[in-house]
Order: sequence, then C-alpha cells, then structure tokens
Amino acid sequence: MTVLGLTDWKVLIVDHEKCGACHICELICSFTKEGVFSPTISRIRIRESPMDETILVCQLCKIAKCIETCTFGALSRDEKTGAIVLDYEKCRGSKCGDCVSACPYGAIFVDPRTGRVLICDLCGGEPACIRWCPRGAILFDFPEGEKAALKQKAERKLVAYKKGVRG
Amino acid sequence: MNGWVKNILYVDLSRGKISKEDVPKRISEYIGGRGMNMRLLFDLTPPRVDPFSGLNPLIFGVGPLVGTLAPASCRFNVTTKSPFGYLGDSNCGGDWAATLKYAGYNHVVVLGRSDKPVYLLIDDENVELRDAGDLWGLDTWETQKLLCEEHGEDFRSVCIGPAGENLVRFACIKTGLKHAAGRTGTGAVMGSKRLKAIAVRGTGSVSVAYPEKFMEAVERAYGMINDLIEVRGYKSPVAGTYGYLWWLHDKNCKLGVMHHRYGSWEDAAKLDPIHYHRNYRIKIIGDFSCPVQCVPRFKVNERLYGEGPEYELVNSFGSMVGNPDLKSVLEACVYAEKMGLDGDSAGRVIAYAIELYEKGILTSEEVPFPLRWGDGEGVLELLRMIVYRRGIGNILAEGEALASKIIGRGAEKYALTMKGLELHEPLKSGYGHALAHSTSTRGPDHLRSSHHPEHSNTPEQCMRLLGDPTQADRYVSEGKERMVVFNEYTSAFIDSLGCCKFLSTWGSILEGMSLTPEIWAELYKYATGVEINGKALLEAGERVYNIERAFIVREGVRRQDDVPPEREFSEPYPTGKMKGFRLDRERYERLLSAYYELHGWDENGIPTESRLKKLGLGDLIEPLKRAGIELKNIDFGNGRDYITLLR
Repeated sequence: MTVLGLTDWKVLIVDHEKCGACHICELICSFTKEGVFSPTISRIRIRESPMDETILVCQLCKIAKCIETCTFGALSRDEKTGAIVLDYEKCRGSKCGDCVSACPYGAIFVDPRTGRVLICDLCGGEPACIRWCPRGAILFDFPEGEKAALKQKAERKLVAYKKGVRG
Repeated sequence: MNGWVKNILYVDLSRGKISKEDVPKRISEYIGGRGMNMRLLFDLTPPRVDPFSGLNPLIFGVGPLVGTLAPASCRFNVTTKSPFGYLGDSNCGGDWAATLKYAGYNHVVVLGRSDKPVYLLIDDENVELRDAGDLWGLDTWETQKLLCEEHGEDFRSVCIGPAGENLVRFACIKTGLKHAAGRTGTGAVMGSKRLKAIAVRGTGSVSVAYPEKFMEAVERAYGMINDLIEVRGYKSPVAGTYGYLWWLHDKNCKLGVMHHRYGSWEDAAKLDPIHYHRNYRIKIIGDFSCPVQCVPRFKVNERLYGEGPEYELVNSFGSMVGNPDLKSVLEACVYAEKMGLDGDSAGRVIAYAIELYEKGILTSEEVPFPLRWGDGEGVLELLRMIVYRRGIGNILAEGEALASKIIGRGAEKYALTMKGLELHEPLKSGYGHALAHSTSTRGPDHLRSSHHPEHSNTPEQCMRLLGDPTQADRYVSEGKERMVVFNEYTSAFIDSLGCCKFLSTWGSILEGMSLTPEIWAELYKYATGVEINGKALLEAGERVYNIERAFIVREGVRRQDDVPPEREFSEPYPTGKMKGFRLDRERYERLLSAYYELHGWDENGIPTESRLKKLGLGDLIEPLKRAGIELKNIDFGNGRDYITLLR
C-alpha cells in the first residue's frame, strides 16, 4: 500500500489502541477554534461503532489531493507547519465539497449548520488536542520509525472507514 | 443561554402532540438534570398514580455541565413514578445526554400512552413520532444499530429491549452497549407507553458564560483527577469498577453472596478481576468527556463480547447466585444488556427464587428445573423466562417484593426489599452504610448516599478531618448521619449538574479522594453565570433531596420504610471478618431519629413546613396537605452544620 500521507512535517498520529473514545479531543478542538463545545464543528472526529472507533484527522499528505482538487484555490499549504489552510473568502463550502470527497481519509468536514468546510490547521503548530488527550493517544511528531508504522496503521483504518461509509 | 440550552420538550403520546417550552428561569434553584426532573415529577404526577398509566410522566433530563469539557459531564437522569411504587430515578452515561443537549433540549417529558409502538425522532429542532412496528421485539443492540442505519451514524438512541416491552418491572433503559438507566424499572414505564426508543441528532453547541475562567477551573479539576489516578491509584486499572470486587468482599464484608446470606465469599477468588483482565479484556475506554475512563471492553469469542461489566453485574450473576464461573457470568451480563434488564434486580430476584426453593416454599412443580446455587446455565434460563414472562419467570418479573406476595406461603419473610426494591448490598456491614442505603429515596443502593469512612478511612484520618475518629468504625452508630446526609446532597448536586459520582460521592471526600464541592461550584458558576459557592451548591442538593422526599412521602413512605428488613437485625453474618455481627434495632432507630432531625424532618420522616420554607420549597406544602399529609412546624435550629464540618 502506498503511504499517501508520508510528510516532511510533524503530524498528528493517532494510536487507536490507546484511544479511549472519550471525545475530549473533539470538545477541546471546537472550543479552541469556535469558542463553544460541539463535536459537529470539530476538526478531529471520533467515529464509533460497537467495539471499535476510528479517529479522523488530517494526515498532512505530501501530495495533498484536497489542494489539487480545489478549483477556487482556497486550500494551500502553510510552509512553516505543513498544515493545510483554508481561505474562507475563496471557499464555496458545502455547495462545492470537492475537497471533502477528494480526501482519501475522510478528514475534511462540513459544518452541518453553516456549510463551512472544516480542516485541522494544527492550531498554528501547537495542537490543543494532544495536550488534553487523557490517554496520550495523539502524538504530534515526524512520522519516522515506529511512528511511521503507527501512522500507516491509522491511515489504513481511515481509508477503510471512508470506504465503509460510502458502502 | 449558557450552560443550559433553550428548551424543554413535551411529548404527549396519547394525542401524538409535540410541544416545546423555554427552560424556566427558576431552573437554577434545582440546577438541572436530576434536580429539575424532580421538580417536574412532583408537579406533573397526580398522587398515587398507577405507574403504567398515561398520567405517569417519563422525564429525561441533562444538567448544565453536560456536553462541556467538565470532567465526566455525560450523564442524564430518567425520572418517573417507579413500577415498584415510589420514586423511579436512574442516572446513565454514554453519549446520548450530550447529543440531546447539542440538539437543544435540557429535558424531554413524555406523557400519555401510544396505541401502537412508536419511537421519538429528534433531529435538532425537528421532532416527530415514528412507527416502531419493525423495531418492537428487537434487543437493545439491534434497535440502536437499525436506527443508525435508517437515520445516520450521528444518531444516538436510548431504547428498551424485550424486557421493557413485556413490562418486566425491573426493565431498564439502555444506550450504547452497556450504559443503562438501570434501577427502579424506568424501562417498564417506557414499555407501558409503547415508546421503543428516542433517537437524537444534535448539531448545535453548548456555550459557557465565562470561557476563560471555565477552562481554568476545568484544568484545575483535571489536575486533581490526575493526582487521584497517578498518585493515589484511584482508578482500578484492571477492569473499572469490577476491580473493586476485593475491596467489597474481603475487608468490608459487603459483597452480597447468595441472597445476602454472606458478606464475603471463598469462591470470590475465581472471579478475581485479574482473570478477566488476562483472558478477555481488550482495552479500557472512557465515557463522553471523561478523563478517568473506567469502561472495560471484552471479547470472549465472536459471539460473546461487550463492554463492562461493572462490579454490580459481576456481583449479581456471580456471588449473588453463588456462581464462580466468569464466562457464564459474562454471558448473563450480556444477555441482560441486550434484553434491557436491570441486572442488579435480576440477580437478586433469581437468588431469592433459589432460596425459596431451598426452603421448600417453591416446589419442584413450580420451577422448570431444580434451582441450585452456582448454576450458571440455570441463571441464564431463568433470565429468559423472566424477560418473556414464562412460567415462574412471570412471577419473578414482578420483582422480589411483589413476587413474595404472589407466592405467599411465608415467602414474604425471606424477601429482602425496601421501598419495593431489592437490597443492593447486605446492610449489616456497618451502621452508616445501613442508614445510607435504607433512607435512599429511590430504594436501597449506594447511588443516593454512602458512608465511605466506615470502609475506607482510618480513625486518625477521621479525627483529623472530621474531628471524630469513630466515623471510621462501622460498629458505631452515633453521629453516622452527618456523613450520610452530606453524601446525599453531594450526589444530588452532581447528578443535577450531569457529572459522574465517581468523581464526587464515591471517592471519599476525606484525604482528597474526590473533587470538592467548591470546584464543582466553580465549574457550575463559570458555565452558567449563576453566582454560587460550594456551600450553596450543597444547599441546592438539599433542596433536590427534599423534593424527592416530599414525593415519596406523598406516595406513602413513612419511618418504617427507612428501616432495614427484619433479617438484617436477626440473622448475624455466619462467616467472614464480621462473623456474628447483625444490626441492633434500638441503635438503628436512634440513628434514624438523629438523621431525621439533621434533615429537619419529623419523627415519621415527613419534611416540616419550616424546613421546606427555608429551602424555598414553600410551594410543596399545599400539594402535600391536599394529599392528606400533616406537616409539622418544628424549628430544628441550624441543622446544616454538617456542611462546615467537612472541608
């Protein structure tokens, strides 16, 4: 399997074995970015099924399909952090949604109330979720050695999840 | 609004009418969740109503902290008049509570009865009743799965299983694989309304009044929790509350064994949580917004898997029925989860049947096979008979108290129930313990109050923190009411806020084994903007507890209903570290009187006019009098000193 997400930057790597599915990452994300508590406008998501959970978050692909897909030039790479940043002035939101379907990991979301597109911007280089995760299940590191394996495992899970949702 | 969200949802199943009301301003007097539920229950329920009639409301409520980052703020209360006769109220985790809040509702009040099975679909502001014909008969796991398939994976549901549909009196309401509003038969009331499920999607948010200060308070609370877990080994890393089995059994003699005959048990070693941990546990997960994380997930084989079990179910299907085989215990647990059966009551009712058979009161013509202790297969078969009300199961499905009356022939003598509900633990493991369980407004268990120093603290600790070393002595009765009352108010406010008792009442407040009322008051204050401190929060807890008491008094509870069953006074422990001990009636009655006095209730346990007025509950007086209850006007002085006794 090609590792689509191989990157030159520090990236959020989720250890699914450690994750306790407590949704604290979603809550701190929506609070940090939006000032309220609401998992449906979080940029990291825990999707639960009986006996299992999948954590969706931007994998910082080296060749980012979302940027390539966007016909409005709304998505670009932050050269410092590597994060995919969104220009809301240019973005057409849920009216377009091309990036949402292009992301192989299902890690780009739409705010159901406003139609805004939501994507993790790594909080400018200091992600709030890693500090609040009570299980230390989210790492923020370069995907090398063991961590590359961990990331690959997470990616597979995300891809499988996206396929499952589409049917 | 901050903390709370906008609406209370009213659903009339008889007329198929749905309406919304704004949350009243006075909600802050009752905090929300359990507290506001109680106010609604008292106001909406006609006295002595038949619990299965359409006039009995079924009320779901979430507190102001639910859906925020406050630790373990994920819980809801279901409140109704119980099929056991008095207060039906149960608290439950999972992520349904937060979802309901994000949809914009603090409470859902269900009234009436539907002619055919229905479920309530709440998609943010769009609410409708749907036909549940194809869900009726399904178990709780299948029901939730189908609802997700039909409406989307973001929907979270509470539902009943076949036990609730068949009006098994101890049926519960379920969400997720294991979360249950377990005791007091709320699932049977839901079944009587033919309401199969409430499926909710919420895409809104919860905001707080002072975001920065709120987050500072949350960080302080998290700091305390880390300290509890890492320094004091608070959480059982092995298997959640199941890990407490030893604490209950060996040292404290309050593990119910074979219908509470014993308080400790030789075979407990075979149920050691370490076996579970090594053989079946996959990992431990956490409830919504909970940093403690005490939910173990297990898999025995492709067919037998799930979450939990809590200590209560291991107790019920293990020691209570004398069964030391872990695999069959897990099988019974999962069966109860799926069918929507309160495992706590179920294990006790089965144990009661085994004892009656042993005593010759139930004869071999009446039972399908010889009832024996330790028969895992037999337990499963009895569970099936209860759920589908077959044979003797039809009688046992009424619960121990009613079953004893139906069976008769002296069976009443062996029933261990209070306020219609089965005993949770043997009461003779300490006077404070006995008082806490016996006076509990909903029936005998540890979710209304507890007396932890008796089982967890040394005399030195109690001297230093309470100025009274005898609080640690379970054989002493004097002065035990203080801790019990304190914990009643703590659990009342924590349920009302929507957080978990694991972080309040259950950790002994001594030696900092739990979060203090002050930190909860801060979280509440900064979330809602209501000016409040720890003491005032405890007073709000007292207000809630008094509404509950007023409710059960109106339904007929008096002093004799706060006294343990005769067997706890006459049958000493035959084995264990407390061998030979039984409660002394005279001493218990003295303790009960002191407890009433501290509450400002009369000698019959009826709240006094003066105390109700002091608590701002003057408007309960008229309805109580109309129901023929005489309220006294005794001034007990400042009975609330206990608040200053504890840090």
